[in-house]
Amino acid sequence: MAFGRGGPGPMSEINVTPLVDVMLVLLIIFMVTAPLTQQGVKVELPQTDAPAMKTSTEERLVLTLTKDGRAYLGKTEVPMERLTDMLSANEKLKQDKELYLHADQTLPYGVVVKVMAAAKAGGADNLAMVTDPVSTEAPR
Amino acid sequence: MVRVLALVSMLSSSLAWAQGPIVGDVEGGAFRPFPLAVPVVRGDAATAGAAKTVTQVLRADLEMSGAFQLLDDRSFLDSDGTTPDAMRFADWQNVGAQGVVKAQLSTTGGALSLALYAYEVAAQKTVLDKKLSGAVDDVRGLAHAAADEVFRAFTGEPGPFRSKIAVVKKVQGEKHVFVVDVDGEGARQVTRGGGLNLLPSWSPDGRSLLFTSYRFDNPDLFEQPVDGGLAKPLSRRPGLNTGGKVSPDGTKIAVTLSQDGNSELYLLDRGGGVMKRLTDQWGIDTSPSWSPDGSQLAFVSSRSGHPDIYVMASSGGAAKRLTFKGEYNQTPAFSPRGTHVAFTARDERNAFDIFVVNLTTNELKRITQGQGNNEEPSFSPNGRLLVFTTTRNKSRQLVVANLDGTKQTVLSASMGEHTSPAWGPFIR
Repeated sequence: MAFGRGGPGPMSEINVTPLVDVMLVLLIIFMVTAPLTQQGVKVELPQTDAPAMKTSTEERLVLTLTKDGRAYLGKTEVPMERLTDMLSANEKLKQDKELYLHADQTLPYGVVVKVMAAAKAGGADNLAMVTDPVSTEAPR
Repeated sequence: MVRVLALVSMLSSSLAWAQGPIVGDVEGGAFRPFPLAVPVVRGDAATAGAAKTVTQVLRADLEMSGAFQLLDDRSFLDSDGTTPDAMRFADWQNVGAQGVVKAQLSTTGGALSLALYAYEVAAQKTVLDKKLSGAVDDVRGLAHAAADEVFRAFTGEPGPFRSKIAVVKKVQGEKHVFVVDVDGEGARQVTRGGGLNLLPSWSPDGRSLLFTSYRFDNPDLFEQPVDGGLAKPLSRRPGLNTGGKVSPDGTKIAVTLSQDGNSELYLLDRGGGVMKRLTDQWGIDTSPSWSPDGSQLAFVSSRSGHPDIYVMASSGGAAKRLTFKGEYNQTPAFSPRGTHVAFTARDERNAFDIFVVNLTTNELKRITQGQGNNEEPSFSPNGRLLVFTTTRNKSRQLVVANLDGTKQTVLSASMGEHTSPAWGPFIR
């Protein structure tokens, strides 16, 4: 049914907002650079000149995605197919509303977006993209 | 009383978990349930089914207590072991758990054996390391025992989960006293025959039940062993012989008798002989409930013109009125901690609801509202929970609730008409 134009007709406007925008519209994304003392699973992070992470990663919820498509919550590997389920049930994510994404720079955009959607479903308002500082050779 | 209050305020203001219980005062104003992870209990090929039951019962008990927030196990990494040296505490920190309970079930010599551990995550501390054993046909009993251990490990108080609830259930036109587990499961009929068997109460040792039966066409008081045996008449005086309650020291029975034409409270000895008449009022005096030290009785009296809750010394004398709101207050239950009296009140919309009055502050708290009729509260032996009846799902079922009503669990196993629940003592 059309309003105010009299008679039926094709809808002239199509909502083209991609699903991913709907998922992420309330997700605040910020970038931080990993401290050099960063422990955990080794990945090659994208390089940016984002501000450094100030607090220790120990009490942060860090999700690592490696080059070969493995996922780690903290230092423990989790099956990729269970990731959405695990994040959406995670109480720490509900409390902190913050997930630190520590993804290898060569990962496909699609994989990263899928994880971001899972984090959002788990109650994260803030997503931190962990990066390496520009022109710093990885010390490990 | 003052000392109890001082202790409570000390606990709630203390942030140092190392001192005192980890979970702290569950009735404090700022209390937030303790986030607890209870991953699936591990078993072997022979115990897989039993391990599943233990997991379910253990989780349900701890959740029902209101002291814990049971975390969603879909988030668990749970790739570590159960023993202290095999724990990966960071994994539990990453799912938001402040405590973890791990258990391994096996069979040894035809009995079940449960290796039970509890950990405090932030301190990486083992707070419980115990082996429990149980018969293979009593898996639920083993799980309730495990819940008691976990409750004690985190709160420093004994858990109520192995204790039983006596309740009246309607069966084929008769009413009988049953004994059920704290989750309403395992119902076992205690009384046989006699038509109407009502108002059960426990002896302090948990071995026998007092109840009122119409088996001789008069509401007479009987006592019967819980594990079977014959019902022994205690008081068959003309008129009412109802609501008998054994004193905490096991030597006396407070009861309502109407042998002199009006309902009055009496003290009987354990054989049923009258020791003393406690009340002498024109109104009805009934439903006595002992204070934990046996020095006081809470009861109902209509001396003001309508039923209200009063407290008097168990040696007799003047009574102090506790309720001044509403026109129909009844079925008082004295808390085993001596701090509260719970009762049923009818409100202005003619709905029955549960209220709790704090005896120190006289503060009145409403436990139920807009959830059907809720009646006949009884305290758990640790004084932290209440069981009462509710009609919120049509049939009259049992509910277990905490003392501020924020956590209420309808016992789904309690199908059919239930009345007069009485929570039994701790199982030693």
